[in-house]
Amino acid sequence: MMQTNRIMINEELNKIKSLVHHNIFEASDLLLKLVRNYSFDSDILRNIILIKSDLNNELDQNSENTSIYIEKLLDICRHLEKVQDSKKINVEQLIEQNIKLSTRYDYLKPRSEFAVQTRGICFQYKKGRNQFNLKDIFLNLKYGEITAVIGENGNGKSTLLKLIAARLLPDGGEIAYDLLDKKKYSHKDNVEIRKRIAYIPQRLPVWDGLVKTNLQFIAAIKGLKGKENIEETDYIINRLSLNKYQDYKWPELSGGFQMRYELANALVWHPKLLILDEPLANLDLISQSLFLKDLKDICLNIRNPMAVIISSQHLDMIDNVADNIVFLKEGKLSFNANKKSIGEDRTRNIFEIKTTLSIADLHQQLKNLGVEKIINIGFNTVIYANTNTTLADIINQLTLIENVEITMARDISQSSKALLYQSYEY
Amino acid sequence: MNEDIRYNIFLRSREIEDLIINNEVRRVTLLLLDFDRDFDASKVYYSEILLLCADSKQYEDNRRIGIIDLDRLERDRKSILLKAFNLIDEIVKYQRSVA
Repeated sequence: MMQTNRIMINEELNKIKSLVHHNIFEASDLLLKLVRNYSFDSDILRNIILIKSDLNNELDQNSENTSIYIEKLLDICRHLEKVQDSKKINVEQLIEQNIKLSTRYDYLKPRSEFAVQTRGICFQYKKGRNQFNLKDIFLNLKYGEITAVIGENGNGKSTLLKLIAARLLPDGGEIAYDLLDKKKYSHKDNVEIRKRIAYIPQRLPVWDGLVKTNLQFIAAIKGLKGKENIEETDYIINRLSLNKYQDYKWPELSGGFQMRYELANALVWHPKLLILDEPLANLDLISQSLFLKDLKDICLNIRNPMAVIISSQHLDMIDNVADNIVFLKEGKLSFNANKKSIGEDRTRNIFEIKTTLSIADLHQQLKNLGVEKIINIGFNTVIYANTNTTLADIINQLTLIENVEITMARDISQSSKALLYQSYEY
Repeated sequence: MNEDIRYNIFLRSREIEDLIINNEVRRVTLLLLDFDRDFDASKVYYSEILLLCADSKQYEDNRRIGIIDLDRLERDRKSILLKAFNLIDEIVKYQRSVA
């Protein structure tokens, strides 16, 4: 058995050694996997991680020091062979430990209970001639997951969030919260539920005073007193990179930092449910991605997992962090599932491109590629084609034409944008 | 050390390692801040990690603005990542010693 494992490791190492000259990235990936799988010495693991980090950094700077890294990786391979031969490690024992640990970890995965479950909630809204119905909404918001609510304007996204945040009362159906030690709720419990939910509305409120003192005040009214209060506010200020702005007032903060403050305000007292209504609206691209990355890290916090529901029109950004997508169309759930299941049973592929060609020209050029429909949405052209057609086929075909500019092309069949675009035509 | 904590350490270390690979220097230090806090080691390493967070912010600003030469940037990047690795070790050791 031990001999077999040695042979397997040696085979892997030989493969890596022959690959390293051709594809250093793949070789370093394989080496990292090998060292992680067989639980080799942590110093070796860290060396590989630093080499991979250097490689990625070099890639950013377009520099060519690959021969040094090839030599470093080969050194590690040689070292691993030597370590095995001199029997310094008992590979079999390590593998067993590794298998035992992985199976044990499977049972220890974080709990996936629901923070909120809505069962067929309905809400009717009437203002002048504008009448709107939200119908039969069934949602499950899990701890440690981000649920994104998407849809066109006026389809009920903000209303749904307000209902979950207990800012509005549903006309029918019920909402079950895991926030109080009760199984049944009455409307009287709404005040208590509101207190336990962090809700960041679309229009941010104006506040007086300084960032830090406001955070301390919020933490205090949520029950964090004395040293704990100071520690928590200090932590959240540092965690959300607000250090430089802790003595700033509301008008002195940029839109991005006003939103960041709201997030700090919501998180300083460790809520179990965070509701954000269009938080990306006033943020630039870099702030959007930083904000969402922070949100994802905080939501996944293993000790205090939090359920997050967020509405946004920035579908590309939201796709990077959301676990579940809820698509609202005219007040009804048009899609409500894990993001990975988007487009699983699709009958056509959807591509988004930006080109100088007109729709008629595109039809002409792509007529043999199984294209079903081409339409313009905003500044982009959307191509609906059968599932055998790939984006590469389309690009290859278009690049054959002279003087055609393609500034953007991507396959959105399995992104949340597909849901929106499907609703336009099919 | 109890199993929950072992699992937690396993996941956290793996996540920080992956961020180091992708050179997300600022996120490495921010996750380290969470890591430290969640293992109640704050009294010992908190200030050190805060300084590292400040260094990483400075590094990312310098990198974005591009006024610092590449060698200096590279030294800063490596120094932050190595410190992050050491701090993970220290926090794990501390946790073992108190568990």
